[in-house]
Amino acid sequence: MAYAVELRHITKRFGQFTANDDISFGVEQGQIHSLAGENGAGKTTLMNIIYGLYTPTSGELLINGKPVHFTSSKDAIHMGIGMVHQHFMLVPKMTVAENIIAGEETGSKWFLDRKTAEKRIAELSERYGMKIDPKEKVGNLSVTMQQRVEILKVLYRNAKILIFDEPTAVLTPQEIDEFCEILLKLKAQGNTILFISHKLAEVMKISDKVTVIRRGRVTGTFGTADITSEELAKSMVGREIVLGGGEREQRSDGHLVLDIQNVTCVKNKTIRKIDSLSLGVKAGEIMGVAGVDGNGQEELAAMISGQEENWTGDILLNGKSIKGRKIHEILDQGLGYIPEDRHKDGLVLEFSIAENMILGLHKRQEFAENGMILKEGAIHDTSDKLKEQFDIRCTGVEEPAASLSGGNQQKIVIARAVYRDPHLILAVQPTRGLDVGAIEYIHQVLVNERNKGKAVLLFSLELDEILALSDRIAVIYKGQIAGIVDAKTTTKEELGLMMLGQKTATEEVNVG
Amino acid sequence: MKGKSRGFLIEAQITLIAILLAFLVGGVIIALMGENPFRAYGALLQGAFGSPVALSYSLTKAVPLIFTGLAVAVATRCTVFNIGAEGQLLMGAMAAGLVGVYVDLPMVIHIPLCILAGAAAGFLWAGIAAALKFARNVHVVIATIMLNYVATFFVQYLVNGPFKEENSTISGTARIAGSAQLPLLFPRPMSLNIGFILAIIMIFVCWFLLKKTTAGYELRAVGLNANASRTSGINIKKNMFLALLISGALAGIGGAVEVQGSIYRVVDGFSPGYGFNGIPVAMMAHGNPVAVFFSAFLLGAMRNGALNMQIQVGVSQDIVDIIQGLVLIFLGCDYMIRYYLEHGTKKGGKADA
Repeated sequence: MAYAVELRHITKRFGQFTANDDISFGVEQGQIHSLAGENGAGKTTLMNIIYGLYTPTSGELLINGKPVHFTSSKDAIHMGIGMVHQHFMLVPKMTVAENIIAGEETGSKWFLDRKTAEKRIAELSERYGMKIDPKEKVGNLSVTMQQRVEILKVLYRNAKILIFDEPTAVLTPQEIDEFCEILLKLKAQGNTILFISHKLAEVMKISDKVTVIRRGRVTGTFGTADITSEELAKSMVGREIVLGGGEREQRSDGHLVLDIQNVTCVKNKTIRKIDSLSLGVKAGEIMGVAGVDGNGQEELAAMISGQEENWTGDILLNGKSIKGRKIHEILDQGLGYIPEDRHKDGLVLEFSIAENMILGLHKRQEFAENGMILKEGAIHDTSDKLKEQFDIRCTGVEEPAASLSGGNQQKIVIARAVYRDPHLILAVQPTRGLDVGAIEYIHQVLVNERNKGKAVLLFSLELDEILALSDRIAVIYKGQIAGIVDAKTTTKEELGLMMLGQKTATEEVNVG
Repeated sequence: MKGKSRGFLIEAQITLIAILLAFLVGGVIIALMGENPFRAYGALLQGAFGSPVALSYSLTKAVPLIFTGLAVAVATRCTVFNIGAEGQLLMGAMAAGLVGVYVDLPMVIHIPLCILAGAAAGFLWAGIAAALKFARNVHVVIATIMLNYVATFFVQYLVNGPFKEENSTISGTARIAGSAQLPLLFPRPMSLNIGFILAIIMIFVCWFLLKKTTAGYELRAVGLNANASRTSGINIKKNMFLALLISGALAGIGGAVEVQGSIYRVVDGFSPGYGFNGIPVAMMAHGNPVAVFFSAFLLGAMRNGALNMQIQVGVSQDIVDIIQGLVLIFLGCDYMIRYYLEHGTKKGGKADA
């Protein structure tokens, strides 16, 4: 049987730059085929070629065995190809049905026939178990549900070949599980799925085959049954990958750097998001906070970093209370903060790399004359040094942060936090959405800082990351610490039970 | 560097295209009125740039627009929409006028004192909006718009009531003392005065403030991403208030310079909307202080040339308002212009979504 999608020697050049170089592989009918590779490897360009947004410089594209020449995505849609974009393209103020039928409206020229459309959408939703109400406004839906609307949009147009561009980047681990179930249902109904991802776990879990590309070239197509995640990572990056940050120096009992004493944070007058919580982090250790999303992680991080001011109890940083302190005072007291959302809270994207490096440090003596006039030379030189030290790949520190890849943007945020030489590093989801090479690097930086005697408080929804990085793990459940366990002796199962509130650690452990 | 200068080039291109389109549509309107648009624009150009004297008048008309343009631009860079430049300019003019009429000092002190009074009045007038925001969370746009009316009627009252020149038919204050008047740069009939130099200096000061100081760095950071600025310990409210107050002071200086350099007294209704026109000036300049000079000059020259057009060709000078409005409308289409600039030449790479 012919391949659903087959690429033969596809090459795409943008000027001097070759994004895809002689790419050949085939996607079998009714399979889930992953396309894995680091950011910037050329995955998205390739998908845009299949979807008709780009025309290849050379090479041949075959759909269901027939050669095609797409000049726009309309041609691709006509051939039964649909694409679910990473960034949703929905109108929040319109209903699900209205969003889905936009461009394919039912009814006559003058009147919109909502009923027919809503009925068909409800049927589709039913068939794939998506639980979508076509009459609901898109703005009221969660991210997972909005993604399902995007999928329905594609199915509504009778697509049989579905392309997903990094669909899980915006989802939490629980949501990812649900999403994978939908993919399997889509597959069971005979659809062909092309799945772009750099998250190895998902790729291994749901796809039948995986094609790895690196720097625009195919390094191999494997059956997921015949390859391990380590081999896959190596194939993506081109070298051995060590997550967890490598060598750790054994440290003797450090002093308490962060001492959270019986804090409570009430939201909306009644909801106790943080409920009489106490936790201590010592110098020279990484304390991982594990938990199901929404159990108070966000509020706790906001309290420590000074973003949230309404709470009772006390938090000592380096022996001094941060209660009532302004954000910049807490930072100066010894906090390096890596916020969860680098675009929203970490960077001013329009600013240059250098301008971003000094955000919050701009009044320091080394960067400003009397705190007034910026020392451009010093700012440039220090940024340049940090750029080298943290391996930020760019043409120069005057380049706007917006033009960097996610991994390199995150390195700016981390470089800035480390430059403060803080006592505590508060890292919230520091590797979210990054590819495996960048994750490896960021793990190394965090462990290095730990080895230098800093305290690190790590929030992550990825259990694998918590297990790989932490010395001790605190499990947060309903705004309380359900228990603290030693990362060397605990298991995923134990953590899982604690995260669901079904088991509490019997004893507190110390790292020796 | 490369990315930045390219972005700047595209912004400049967008503005130029918007201006061209506005003149194009303006030309069609003139033609529909039964006049020859080429003759009309010819007369406009001649009136604006036709002789050194004409040019000096164009520059003079640009001066208050530079100040109000800077005022709006600085505030906008920090996402504060100061629609109250008109009121701040009027209050600045009134304060400078009063100091000019009722205080007697040597010139070297009198001139700067009047200007300072203007700046202080604009600062305080904007300060009312800031205080309302701070104490009662009144939206700055609403407060500044409303304060325009208050200022207009307050000044109207003052120049018709307590400070009206005695035994005079005009509604206005007495003429300010010679020691408060800004000297001319060239002999009459040229019109340019020291206020022009002051405007250029202010452009430099604003550029320096935004680009080279920590205060300007904070203003820009807050304007571009308030969340990230806050997370890094920058006080957002403080910066937004500061931007509004600086903006008010700049507009106030604009009023002072207009009184001290051009009309020598505060007259009822002396401002043809300098403060409001600061908004298109700042928009055309995309908030860039140096570009404010060019956009203010364009509007100033258009206003100046319009009179000649009306006399020579008989096209009403109000067409200038129409063109100015059209520029704003086309600037509002910047996404479309940007799209054609970036994608227009490419074939087959058309985005569908």
